[in-house]
Amino acid sequence: MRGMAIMMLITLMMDGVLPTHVLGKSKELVPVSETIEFDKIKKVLRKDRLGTEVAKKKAVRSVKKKKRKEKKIGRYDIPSVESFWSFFSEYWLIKNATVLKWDFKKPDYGLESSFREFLETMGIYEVRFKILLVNSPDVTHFALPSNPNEYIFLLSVPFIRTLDLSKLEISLLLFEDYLRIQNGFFKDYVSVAGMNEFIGGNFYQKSFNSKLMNTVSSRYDDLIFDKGFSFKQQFKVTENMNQMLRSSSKLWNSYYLMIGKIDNLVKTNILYQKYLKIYPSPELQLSWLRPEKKKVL
Amino acid sequence: MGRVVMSLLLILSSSSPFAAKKTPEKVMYFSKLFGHIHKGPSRYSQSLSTIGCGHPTKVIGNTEISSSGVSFLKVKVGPYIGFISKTYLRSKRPECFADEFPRFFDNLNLSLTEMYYWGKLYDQYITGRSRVK
Repeated sequence: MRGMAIMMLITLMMDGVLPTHVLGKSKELVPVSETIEFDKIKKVLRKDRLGTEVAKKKAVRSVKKKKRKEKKIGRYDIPSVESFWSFFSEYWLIKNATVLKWDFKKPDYGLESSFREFLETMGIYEVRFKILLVNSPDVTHFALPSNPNEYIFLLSVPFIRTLDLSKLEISLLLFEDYLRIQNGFFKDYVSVAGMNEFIGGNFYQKSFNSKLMNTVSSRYDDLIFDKGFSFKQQFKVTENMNQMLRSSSKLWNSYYLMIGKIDNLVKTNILYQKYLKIYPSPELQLSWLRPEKKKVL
Repeated sequence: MGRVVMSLLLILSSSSPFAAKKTPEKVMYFSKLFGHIHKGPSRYSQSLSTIGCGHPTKVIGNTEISSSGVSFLKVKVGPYIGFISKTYLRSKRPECFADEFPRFFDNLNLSLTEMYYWGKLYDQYITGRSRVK
């Protein structure tokens, strides 16, 4: 059987039926180390869509790289105006915890419900508030800059106890502070040069502007402990209060009486003499509130 | 033989209806910037430890204990078993300020005392929100 096959092969060779490469002559025609000419196989590659695959992979890689870089830069973001002010006010409260003495045990005065109801009576809805009671006469009452629709109030327990203020009177006092914030008096005072660029900015490959943070913090100190508000600002707030409370004689009278109480306190109690410097002045506020006497002919 | 009897007894005791039920534990995350694990269910109770936003806590049982209008949950955080206000805990990890602005936050260089006070601040706040009636 094997001999038969050899015989057939020899016959075929003699006839020239088998192709030359089968017989081992192909070595001369096709070199072993053939270089690939891409120009020649371009069409094939294009047909196989290998080019588009490579482009796709490159695009994905570049998107990933871009995202990674954006993430890296994003780590240096500074809070925007939406979240900066509440954070900074709290930061200031932390730095001044020992001066303000707010970490103390106190009874529940029911201020949450009374102030919430007061705001709702005034038609002010969806407002979040945080009241921090302080155990110091140095800061009597204040509203600090905060995020939109959020208010942070400071209220002195010695002050409200000395004046024996009712829940309504406390709400009126807080509401006055609310209007000061609404008028932007505090933010205007503490917003130093470069503040607008700082808030919501980014400090990637730059040094952090801690100097600006310290300046803003010292402006807080200045306004709260020393400078206070101007006569013009006080007049505006008193006018606003007058307009808003005029429709309710109960509220208006309570406000008028409360200012009278404060006026009496600052004139008689040495502990609260600084109050006049911060809120000038209850006596003037009373005169601004007092209805003008009509001249009878 | 003795070992087999012992293991059988253990299996029986664990499946017995009279055996003490293991209280369910649920993982919840702290949502404020900083806060405290209190020894008792009160915001004025002694602080066992200060924790940061996103810190996981194991809530032990389902009992809520109210104190001055604030509900507290019993939690286990690391080696401490204490109480945290229910309003500060979330079932999913919250978006935290320190994670959102990490470099800004790092540059504040808060000391341990400041972190402690920041946690205390949330305990001291009287919070509210006016709503449409």
